[in-house]
Amino acid sequence: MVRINIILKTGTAAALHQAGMIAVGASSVDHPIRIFIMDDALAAVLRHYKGEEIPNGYEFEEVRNGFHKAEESGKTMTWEELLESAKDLSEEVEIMACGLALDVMGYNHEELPELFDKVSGVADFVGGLEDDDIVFTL
Amino acid sequence: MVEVAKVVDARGSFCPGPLMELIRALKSVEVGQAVEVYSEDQGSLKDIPAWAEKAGHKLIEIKDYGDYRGFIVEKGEKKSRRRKKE
Repeated sequence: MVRINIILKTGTAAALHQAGMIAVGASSVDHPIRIFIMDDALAAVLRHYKGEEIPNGYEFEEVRNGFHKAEESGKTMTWEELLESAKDLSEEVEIMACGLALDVMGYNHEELPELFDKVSGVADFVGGLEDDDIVFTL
Repeated sequence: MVEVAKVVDARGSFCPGPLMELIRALKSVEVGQAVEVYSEDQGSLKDIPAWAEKAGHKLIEIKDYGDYRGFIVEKGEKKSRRRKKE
């Protein structure tokens, strides 16, 4: 099976949603998936769990407004729901937090939200790549 | 004639909501039974047939109810698609 890898670095709701969509699509057909969340994306996730707003990230008004309306009416799944659904569908979904980004933000590794499976370093993530892996960067 | 064991109404959900509802419903029925999911999402016309084929299930019928469609999918044996461990 092809394994999907996502390096998620953009700290916007749009990027998180895109990662969630790829994850749920992959896990629906049993493609294993690893998501390495680093830098601004990690800050966005941690801020979201603290109840803070995060940047939207959609550049065009019709997309921004369209997603906003769809979310308000409950027609779309949120990025959290997508990632949770991916994990429900498959045991081979691994979400990693970048250890370096946590350290520079002064974040205690033990206090990570349950969404994360582990703290990892880029060497571990990249070192774990195999020949037929696909890597997306968001 | 395949038995529709469960009907799921996913009208009002955009992609991938209807597919997620279908997957959840199929988990709760036996192999050989079917689920019908209602969807008004245009993407379902491509997503659900493609997913059913890949996942080893059988798309029995797509019913046209006017404003929405009903996708009847028979649960198949799960394909072994796990990654080989070295």
